[in-house]
Amino acid sequence: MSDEKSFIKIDKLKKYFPIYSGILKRTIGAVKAVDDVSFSIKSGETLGLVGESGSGKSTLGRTIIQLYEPTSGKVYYKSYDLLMLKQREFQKLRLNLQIIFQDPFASLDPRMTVGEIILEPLAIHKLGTKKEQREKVEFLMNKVGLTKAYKKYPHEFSGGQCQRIAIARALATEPEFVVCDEPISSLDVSIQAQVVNLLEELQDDLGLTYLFIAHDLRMTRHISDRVAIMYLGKIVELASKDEFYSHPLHPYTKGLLSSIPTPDPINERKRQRVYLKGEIPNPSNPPKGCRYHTRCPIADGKICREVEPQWRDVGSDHWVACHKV
Amino acid sequence: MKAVNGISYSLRKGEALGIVGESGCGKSVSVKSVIRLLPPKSVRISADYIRFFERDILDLSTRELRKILGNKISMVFQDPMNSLNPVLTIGRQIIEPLIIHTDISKDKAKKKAVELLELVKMPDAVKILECYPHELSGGMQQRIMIAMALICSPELLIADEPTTALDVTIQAQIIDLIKDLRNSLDMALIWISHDLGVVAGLVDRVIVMYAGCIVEETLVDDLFYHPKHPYTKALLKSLPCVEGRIDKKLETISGYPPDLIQLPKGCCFAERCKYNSKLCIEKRPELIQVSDTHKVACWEYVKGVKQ
Repeated sequence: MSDEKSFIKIDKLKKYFPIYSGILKRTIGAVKAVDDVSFSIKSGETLGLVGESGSGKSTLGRTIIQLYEPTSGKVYYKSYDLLMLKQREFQKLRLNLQIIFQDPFASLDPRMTVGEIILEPLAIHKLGTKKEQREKVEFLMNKVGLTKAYKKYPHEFSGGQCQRIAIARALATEPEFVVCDEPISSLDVSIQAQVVNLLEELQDDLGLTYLFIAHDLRMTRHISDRVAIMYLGKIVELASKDEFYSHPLHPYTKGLLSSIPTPDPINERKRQRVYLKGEIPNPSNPPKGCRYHTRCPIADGKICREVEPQWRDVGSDHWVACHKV
Repeated sequence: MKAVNGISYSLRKGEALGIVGESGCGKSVSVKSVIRLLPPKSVRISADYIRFFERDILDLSTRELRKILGNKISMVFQDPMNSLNPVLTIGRQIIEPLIIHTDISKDKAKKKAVELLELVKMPDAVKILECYPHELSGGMQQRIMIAMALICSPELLIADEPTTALDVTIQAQIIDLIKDLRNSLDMALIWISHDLGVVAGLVDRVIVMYAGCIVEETLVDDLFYHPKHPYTKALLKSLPCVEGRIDKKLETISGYPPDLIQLPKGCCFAERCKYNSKLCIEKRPELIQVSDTHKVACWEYVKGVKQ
């Protein structure tokens, strides 16, 4: 079904959350969190997925590994069509698809010790004997740079260390694909760099493939091989890192890039921003035509307001959805 | 727990000061204690003086303090969602301090509220007055917090990480707004942030804090182009950027900040510092003047000390 090269392939994926109202809980509409998204991820690469809050990037990540059931569309992992699999078959694949969440405190059970937390996935999937499992946990803790942590509880650790625990847990089942859902957003700058370096090292050692979700284009540049920008449930631009940062095409990408503060006071003072007007519209009622036209500085005419732009390759694997490019 | 340890700084009229540091370094606590916002029962504040226009804030009665806060000094907090009352309309929340601090009628207050919302570039100001906080996005809520802080044209605006919870695009809008407002209203600004990039284009002077101490204080250009303290240097290096070449690995600061309950005897940063020596571990360096505008707390810059 899917071609050999792509590791994860997403085809016309949609995820709508229904909105209910009244006593009868009738559906009155839907939040179109992910709306007709197609792309693929190659084995061993890191795809950065960036967007403002409410753009649907976390929903997309979770839908790919089937934490949410898609409304429609296809997700392929290697040669498997994830949606067609039986529960039991999928359970086996689940080992290979893991996720690291944004908030390390909320995603670790405060009443379990660190050892128990990392051991749990091994116990659930019955991987190895008790002794092997324990050795594996020790190995993982060393790998992520935690020492003598087995019998401690999450509250004894700082945010950065908790994120290391969450990473160790995600890696316990030896996954091939890890969705990193804003793993560094809640950490301090110096700790962010530590976690990013750790993720990169682990990728080199274990041959992992990442979907790295972030709202920070600076860190994304560092860790990603390719970058995708999401806006209101759609991907508007996707390109290799170098291409993306040197020749951004979509006006939204340009706006995002120009909003990033840089540690350079002289430039910062005289810099002209590509001003992004207003805020992201409500995803339950997205604008017609190009979803970005309400904030776009170059939108004009009927075409932007009424016709949805096509998702097309403009050369050298640089994909963009804009009428004006 | 020693959140802030013997810090001193001053701010001129109309000047903009940035306070930068990681979480837990005492940057919020230091400014909150300056305006006595912390609960007096659980916090002990000691200082030689905290002067605001020749008056010592520590000597003021609660009543006198209330006249200054919100009037001459006002503050914007990190999380607008928690700072606004969810059961009152925006209009009521803006009008309340107006009536408390000025003697104007309700009608006039309402007009003034609309003017303030227009000042912070809110679209449909009249309609917004009828809204409840949950109907607005985070960026709009933060604009309202700023509008409320500007009610009495304060001399000093304290902003405690006001853009941390917002998206970069909205952050850029808020920063531009604050720049405009400072130009038109001529007020002093203390901007607290953990992001060095944010303060770069906004302030005149920067203080870098670490574990409750000031480690470096200087003009904004000097800080970014000629940083002196090893912590500042490391922080700047760990920032990834969107232009220029990228190295394979990000520079990191190894380890974690010290426990504030048991601060080390020597320099608080020594454990994570590349250049530490025996002296660094044994004795804490004081903040010393290395040029007219540059202060740094590091043994490296103390004359006559052999490393």
